[in-house]
Amino acid sequence: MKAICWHGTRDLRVEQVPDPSILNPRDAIVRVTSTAICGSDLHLYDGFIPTMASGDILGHEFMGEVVEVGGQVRNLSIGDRVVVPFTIACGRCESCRNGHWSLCDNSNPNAWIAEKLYGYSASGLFGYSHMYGGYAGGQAEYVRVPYADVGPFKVPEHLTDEQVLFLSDIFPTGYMAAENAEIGPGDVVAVWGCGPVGLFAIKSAFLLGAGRVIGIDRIPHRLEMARSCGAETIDFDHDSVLQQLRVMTGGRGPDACIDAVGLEAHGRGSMGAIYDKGKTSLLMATDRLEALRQAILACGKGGVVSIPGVYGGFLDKVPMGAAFAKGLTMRMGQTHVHGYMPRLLGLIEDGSIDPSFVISHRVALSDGPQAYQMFLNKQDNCTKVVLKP
Amino acid sequence: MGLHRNVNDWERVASIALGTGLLVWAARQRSGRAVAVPLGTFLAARGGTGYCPVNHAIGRGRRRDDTRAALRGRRGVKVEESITIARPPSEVYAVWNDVSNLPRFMPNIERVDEIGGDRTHWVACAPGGIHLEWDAVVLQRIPGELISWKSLPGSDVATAGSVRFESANGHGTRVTVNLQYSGPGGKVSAALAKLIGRSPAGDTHEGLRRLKSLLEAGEVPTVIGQPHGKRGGLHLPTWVDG
Repeated sequence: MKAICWHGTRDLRVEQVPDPSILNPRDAIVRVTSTAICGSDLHLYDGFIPTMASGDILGHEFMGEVVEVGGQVRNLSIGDRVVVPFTIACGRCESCRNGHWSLCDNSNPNAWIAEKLYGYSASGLFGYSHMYGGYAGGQAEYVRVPYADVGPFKVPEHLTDEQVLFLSDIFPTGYMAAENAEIGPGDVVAVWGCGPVGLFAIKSAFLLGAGRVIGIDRIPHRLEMARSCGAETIDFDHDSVLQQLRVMTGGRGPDACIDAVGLEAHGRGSMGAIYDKGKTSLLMATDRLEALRQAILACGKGGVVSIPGVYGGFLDKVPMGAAFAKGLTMRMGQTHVHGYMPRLLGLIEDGSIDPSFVISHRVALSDGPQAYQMFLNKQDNCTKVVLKP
Repeated sequence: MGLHRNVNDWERVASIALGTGLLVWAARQRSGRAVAVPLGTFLAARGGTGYCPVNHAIGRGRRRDDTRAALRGRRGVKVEESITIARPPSEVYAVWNDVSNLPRFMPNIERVDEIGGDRTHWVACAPGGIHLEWDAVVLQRIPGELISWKSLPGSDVATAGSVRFESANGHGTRVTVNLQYSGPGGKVSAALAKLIGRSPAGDTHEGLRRLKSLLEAGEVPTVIGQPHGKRGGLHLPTWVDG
């Protein structure tokens, strides 16, 4: 089959590789009908995530048709149309049973690597480094799905691939970010990053009762999309984010701040951003965290900082004093996708949201590497790329 | 008489040299013979036979044939690891108590056979593809709570340990392994194994993690055998493709 393989920083190749096979009794094989490039795939593309190896197959947002099931998978049949959560969860450990699917105790065969870095290991992920399990990803024609009796989510025929594909990651991720922000009726919510996850966080914040949502970015097209989702916007290339938020909230500050940027923040021109750029360039730091710094500094007293953006290492110059002084709550982590899928499918079916609004490009799988390049550079108003195997 | 060798080769050479030296010296002297002759005779005999009653008394030189001696004090490598499994102690105990299950979750253990009378024969694969074999006997078995064991004379590895199964207050079972071992090369080989990423503590923890996966998820997670693109580079880490 064809698959997009990682070969180093900004070096992806479409290769012919063997088809996947069933390795464990709870596995299934899915023929991929649609797959997408995630903003977090760009962290791999840019070489920010450790424990990648040459030849790894990328991709964690995908859906398709079940073509083979292992002996212990009884709820799926050949031909079922399913969306697959990007987090791999066994469904039976204490973490899974508590709804913390992305913290599954059992799904990472390389848990020892994560334990060395983080103390304890979270769940395995598709196509996201060996530290997260080394699972082959879904930017391929076929993919092996472990624990297929609890992961793959059957979707109704009347919905198109593009309407349901993002149940695999970014819709639940944006929704969980808004839920983690503990939004009360009429609250003001600020969202850093108006990429796909930020846009879903904006829509979700309104669905959860926010009075106002303020989107922060510097790409005109993305700011325009945020406005079309109902948000007010701040362009951080032109305005001081902290000053502008203070004015817009009448000196209260936002009730909740959502960092939908993560470890490769641009934060143009600020002292913190220059410091991070220098330090990561010298390999003395792993993460650029200007968005997180701003979110903490901007957040109103007693507020919540919710972090769907990915961080990987040890963060430098975190304004912990500000977080402490204002009594902030910080919530973060990979998305518990399994738990959100049924609820969010309901929102798609009743017309509350059509997730396909984020798609800007549809290309063949074999054009994947060029699509990564375009997405990275935000060329041609690129917000979301769907790949067709 | 069972005078097994308990003096190493260099020490035997030194004993013979020193003992005969003392005897030659004593033959030329008038005074000091009362001490030099018996001492010289003792050293020469110790070197010649390779058996030393003093060593025997203090337990020196009885490695591996005597598990207690091999692991006493600071000898041997000590491991303590623990994990919580969302299953009742009786179930976890039952899986462990059937030794044929152990290779399913213990890294490097290739085979464990029951050989009768609470005795088992173990075959392990050590770093570098070396096979190690030993027999062990169960010392104590409390159903649902504890199993302890030690290796028997004639083993490649001297080992003793226990595994405890305790109720974890609504979280299932807390499994705790305490283990000591002394293999060929002792602490030096243990340190070398650690350099290439294999330590007894790491292996034990990995084993417990796999037992947890087996009992909770019904299978041990794996990516061995899945497809990948061309693997480049000369220094592919050991964690890639198993």
